[in-house]
Amino acid sequence: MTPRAYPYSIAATADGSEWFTELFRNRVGKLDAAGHITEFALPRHWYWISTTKIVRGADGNAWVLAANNSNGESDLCGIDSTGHMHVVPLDGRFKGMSVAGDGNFVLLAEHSISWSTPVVPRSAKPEWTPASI
Amino acid sequence: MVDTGGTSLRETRVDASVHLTAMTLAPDGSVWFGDASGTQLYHVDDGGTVTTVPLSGREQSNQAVFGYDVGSDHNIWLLTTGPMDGLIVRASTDGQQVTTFRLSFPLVSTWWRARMGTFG
Repeated sequence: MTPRAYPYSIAATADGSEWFTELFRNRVGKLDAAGHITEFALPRHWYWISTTKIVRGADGNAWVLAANNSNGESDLCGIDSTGHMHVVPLDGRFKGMSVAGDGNFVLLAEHSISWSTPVVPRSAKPEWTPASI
Repeated sequence: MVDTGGTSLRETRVDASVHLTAMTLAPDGSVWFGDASGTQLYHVDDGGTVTTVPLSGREQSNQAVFGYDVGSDHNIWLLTTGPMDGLIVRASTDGQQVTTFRLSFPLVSTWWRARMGTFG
C-alpha cells in the first residue's frame, strides 16, 4: 500500500474482496482473498480527506462517498470488481452514508438525513477505466 | 448517450443549530443519528418524522460522539471520547436507561476530528 495513504473506511463486496478508501491519497484499494492489494486512482478532483465512506451497494459493488468535490458538493462513485467507475453527482454535501434495506442510500449531512432514489449511472459504459497505481 | 443519470434525494432536516456527526440504520429501516455532544438522539422513521430523545444524565456532555450503532439488544450504542478518556454509552431507545462504560485511554485525535465534524 502507498505509504501514509491513511486507509479509513472499508467494505466487503460481492466478489469476496475488501475495498477501502485512502483518505490522504484520493485513491481506493482492493484487498483480494489472496491478500493482494491493488490501488486505483479516483476519477474526479475531490478535496483532501474527502473519501470518508465506502459501502457495499445493493448491486454488490463498492460505492464511495466523496464528501467534497470542486463544486463544494458530494459525489457517489460506484466501482466494479475490476476498478471501472461511475460517478454520480449528489445535490448537496454529505459526510456519511449507509445502505437501507431497500438498497437505496441513506446520506448524512450537517443538518439532515436524506434517502436516495435508485442510482442511475449517466452512461451504460463506465466513465473511468481502472488506473492502478 | 443522453445524460439522464443521477439520483434524487428526499431530505429530513433537523434544527440548524444541531451539527450532526454520525448515524446508524435500525433493522426496521429507521435511522438513528446525532451530534457530537451525544446529549440527545434523533430518530427518523420511514415517513420522515423526526423524534428527539434526550439521554438521561448526559445533559452536560463534554465528549465527542463519532459513532452510533444499534445493538442486537435493541439499545443504541454511542462511541465517544473526551480529551482524557473514551466512553462507550448504552442508551435505551426512550433515553431513560443510560449506562456509561469508561475506557482507560483517550482517543485524542479522534476527539479533535469529531469536533471538526469529519466523521460520517
